[in-house]
Amino acid sequence: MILFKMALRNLLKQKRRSVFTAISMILGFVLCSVSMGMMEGGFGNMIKAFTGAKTGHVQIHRKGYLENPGLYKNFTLDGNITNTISQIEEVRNFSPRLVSGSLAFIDKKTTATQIKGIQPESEAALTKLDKKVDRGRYFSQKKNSDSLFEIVITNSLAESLNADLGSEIILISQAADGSIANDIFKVIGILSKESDSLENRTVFMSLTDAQTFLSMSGKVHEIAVELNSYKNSFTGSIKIAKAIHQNGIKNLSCEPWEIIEEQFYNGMMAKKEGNPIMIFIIALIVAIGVLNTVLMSILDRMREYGVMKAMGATPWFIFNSIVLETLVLAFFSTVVAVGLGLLATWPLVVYGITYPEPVSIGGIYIKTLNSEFIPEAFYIPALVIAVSSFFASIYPAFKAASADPVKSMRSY
Amino acid sequence: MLLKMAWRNIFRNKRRSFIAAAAISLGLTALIFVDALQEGMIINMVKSATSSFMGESQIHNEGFTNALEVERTIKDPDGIMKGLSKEPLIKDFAPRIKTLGMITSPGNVQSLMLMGIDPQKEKALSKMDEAMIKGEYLEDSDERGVIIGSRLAEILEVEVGDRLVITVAQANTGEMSQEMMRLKGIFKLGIREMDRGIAFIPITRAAKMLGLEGQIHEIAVNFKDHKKSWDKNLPIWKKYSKNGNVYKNWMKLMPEMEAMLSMTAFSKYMVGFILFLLVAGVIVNTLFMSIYERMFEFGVMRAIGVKPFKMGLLVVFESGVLAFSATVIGIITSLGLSGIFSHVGIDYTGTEFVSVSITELIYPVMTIEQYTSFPIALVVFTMIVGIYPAIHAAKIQPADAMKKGTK
Amino acid sequence: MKKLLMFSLVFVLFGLSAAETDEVNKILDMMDKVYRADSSKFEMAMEIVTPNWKRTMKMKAWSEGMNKTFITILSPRKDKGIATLKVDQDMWNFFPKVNKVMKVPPSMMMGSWMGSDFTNDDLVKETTFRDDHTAELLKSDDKDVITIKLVPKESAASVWGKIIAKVRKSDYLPISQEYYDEKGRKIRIMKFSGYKEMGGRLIPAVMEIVPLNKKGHYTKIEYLKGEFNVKLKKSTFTLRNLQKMR
Repeated sequence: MILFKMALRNLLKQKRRSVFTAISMILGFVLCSVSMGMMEGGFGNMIKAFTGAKTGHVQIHRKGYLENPGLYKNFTLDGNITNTISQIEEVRNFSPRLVSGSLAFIDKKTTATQIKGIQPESEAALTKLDKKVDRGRYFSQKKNSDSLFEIVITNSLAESLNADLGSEIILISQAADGSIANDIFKVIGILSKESDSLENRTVFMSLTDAQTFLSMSGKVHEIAVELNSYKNSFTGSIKIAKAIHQNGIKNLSCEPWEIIEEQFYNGMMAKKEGNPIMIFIIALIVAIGVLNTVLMSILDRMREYGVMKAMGATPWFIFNSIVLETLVLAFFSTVVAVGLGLLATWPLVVYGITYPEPVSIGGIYIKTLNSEFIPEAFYIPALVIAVSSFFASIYPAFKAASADPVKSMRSY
Repeated sequence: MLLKMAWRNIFRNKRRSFIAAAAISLGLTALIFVDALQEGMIINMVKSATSSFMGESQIHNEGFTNALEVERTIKDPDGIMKGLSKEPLIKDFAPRIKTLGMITSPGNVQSLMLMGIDPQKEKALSKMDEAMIKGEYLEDSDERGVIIGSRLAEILEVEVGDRLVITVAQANTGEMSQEMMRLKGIFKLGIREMDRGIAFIPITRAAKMLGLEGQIHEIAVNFKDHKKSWDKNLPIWKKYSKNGNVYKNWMKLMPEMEAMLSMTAFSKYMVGFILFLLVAGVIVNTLFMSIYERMFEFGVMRAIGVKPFKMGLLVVFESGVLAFSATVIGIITSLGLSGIFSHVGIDYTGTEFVSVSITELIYPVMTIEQYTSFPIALVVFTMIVGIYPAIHAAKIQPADAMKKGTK
Repeated sequence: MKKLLMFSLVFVLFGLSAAETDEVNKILDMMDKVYRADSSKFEMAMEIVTPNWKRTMKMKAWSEGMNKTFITILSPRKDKGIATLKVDQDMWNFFPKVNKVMKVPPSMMMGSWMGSDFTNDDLVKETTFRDDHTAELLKSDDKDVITIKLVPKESAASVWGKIIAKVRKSDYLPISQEYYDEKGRKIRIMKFSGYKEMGGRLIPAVMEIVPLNKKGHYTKIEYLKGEFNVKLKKSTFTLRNLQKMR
């Protein structure tokens, strides 16, 4: 108890030294915490952009579709499924899709394409497909007067076929009843060039049109789901799978984006492995900062400790008092630092830092780098401060405890 | 004279100076090393993406990439390849033929991309030979050999040695051409689309099947110095983009990579900035502390008669000398650290995520900037930091200082 | 004496094998040309069963030699007028609804012709039993049946390891063809039945294909009526004809 009181009094007595030491601890903590939050935010940004542009956070398919997609690996889209999904609280949006390959023809030009049947509003809510339209327009509510089906195509497809707005494209594909699906479609919208990277040579049409064309009424191949956060992908997919199963819908499986976009995920993870090194280096600098200040403040008080020893303090007592003093300071600094850290991180999370130029991923523009609140950004710096303070105080504490009182009192 | 004093002062109080110097030199080393590491990571990202198969740059006929029309072959391929082999900047290049076709096994039929490659040249350029998991890689002499991806092998239910028939449409006539092949090997690149949808055969065979003898669709080119492929202004791009051909680097071939890159570069600056703040903070703290601790000393000097201005200058010089020596040490340490690792590389990818498509080693990149602007900035900064306590030291009243100094 | 014996033995054996080869060749020929002649015209029905759907189509087909085929669909109404033309190695499809003649690229030959268990490959096929396979007569249990083992030559564009064919001893008409992969697994069976007279020839009017590696799939073709060696217009096997046949 005495030790503790002494420690506190000592700290308060030499305000300047204590403040300096505290500053190095606080500064180190805050910067370490902020940079960790930023790094996480950077990854979060990329993941959000990628999943937001195309995949969604979770996808529902017929079992086996993901490994080997096929026209017949479809399932019925009905009220039962949609209700089940919308009732799960983490779900924000979902969009059903019908996917098939086909050949597209204009005059003499032909190329292989992908057909995606979508519900215009749901898809726009999920992937902002409507915002990716560069020329022409997106699907509208009203029925078109023309008898032709309307399609929105990617820029790459428009280029390969030399198509433009108003062009009539013939699509030929295998229908689900075995016949050959063939019909004429009118281009009402063309997507921007940036979207090409994620959706190469695709023809978008309304879900009902696609179902009619491929003789698959009521069926879809996948439902893409947006959750409240991409981090809930695994728990979300398990929840959805459970709910679906409970409602008697069989044969469906639910996968998080990490599995669906395996390669992207692997690449991200591999990059993330670089973080620990970065954090380690930052922690090292913080530790050095703390070490410096603690060392300086203690070693400069050798005279004081010499006096204490002369007055009868045991080496053990001196050792403990020094270490305790440092730890107490570390504790208070950490408390303050946590507060400052939260204060500093908050605007970065909410407002972020604006990129010099908006970055486009798959047609979606990202304007800011936002930080994120993660527990690691708080307990790891705290750990670093505590540990480095402790070890920093040991050497001088030892020196002070074992020094010859006479010599100490002579020094400055 | 002052400088001499500054120098001596520093060495007089070894412990204090050492601690302050340590902060500065370690800080510099950290700044330099982290910068080098980040650069290395960015390059690693690009290298991973391009080295498994795509290559750092590619030459095509300008209309080819859109619809993969078989007839759109590269103009004067022999001339180009001859030119490439003489280019000082180029390390490897590999010619390829690409077309859509069909592959049949007893169990199944699948549409795919058929690629004709030059096995030897391809070995040098991409990682196909390392990606083989069953059977063997292709050789020029393979009459009927074909290698396919692991997923495709599963779909077709075939194993090494099995028969496969490949059907393609010939150039110009569109006539169907069928060839019987035997599965020579199965590869796994870790890229789903490639493992599922591509088959490789020797390029001479592909040319014969397509009626495209002597012609090719694509030349993948790698530079001796990977960094050169980043430079949009190299004359080499224009040199091979004539006559209806285009020569593009990976940035143009993979626009989404450029986006990822700018985001990563931005976060590099952020981290660098934060690190600088940290190092700066440590330096300020340390310096201030060491100077304030010596107020007694300064008081004595003033009492002896040192003029205020000179006093201040002395403090600034001390900071400068400290910074300079610490910086020199820092530079030497960084050179050592970066130097070693930029040769040996840092291997940190967890085994879980490694596939052939990810390059494992990160090589920190040493740049001139790291060793000039960083140190200079740090020295200047430290000296500026020294101004505040210097002013304080200049202003003190000797009597007060000597009293305070005993604390 | 011995030499003569040897010689005659060899001669007899040779002669026997020659005779055998002759017979084999005739059988192979028949297998290749069951439904073909210099020219032919047929009306047929195709029934396709898959785990996902069931369909019956009625078609009309013309052929000339081994290389020219023209097929047009008569029913169901949705598909009426869809036609396929094959000349040598080229194949085109015509779709009346979109008025489009389309050359079939290899990548779109995703297995089935019009959804059946026949592959486009089967129709395009460059290989014949006679020229691209080595044949070997096997012992047969049934005295009315000849069994032949066919192995594709190394250079032949065929995925099969071997084909066991059974034909009727009396007229060499095919009874069945079993397709094996190189590991000896039976992958598909073709069965012939319903032998009757049509257009001046005896043919098996019913052909069934059962793929063994795909559960629930089955295709049956029934020849309804037809003629061999009819006079066909020169323009039958042209692209223009594709579009006209409505």
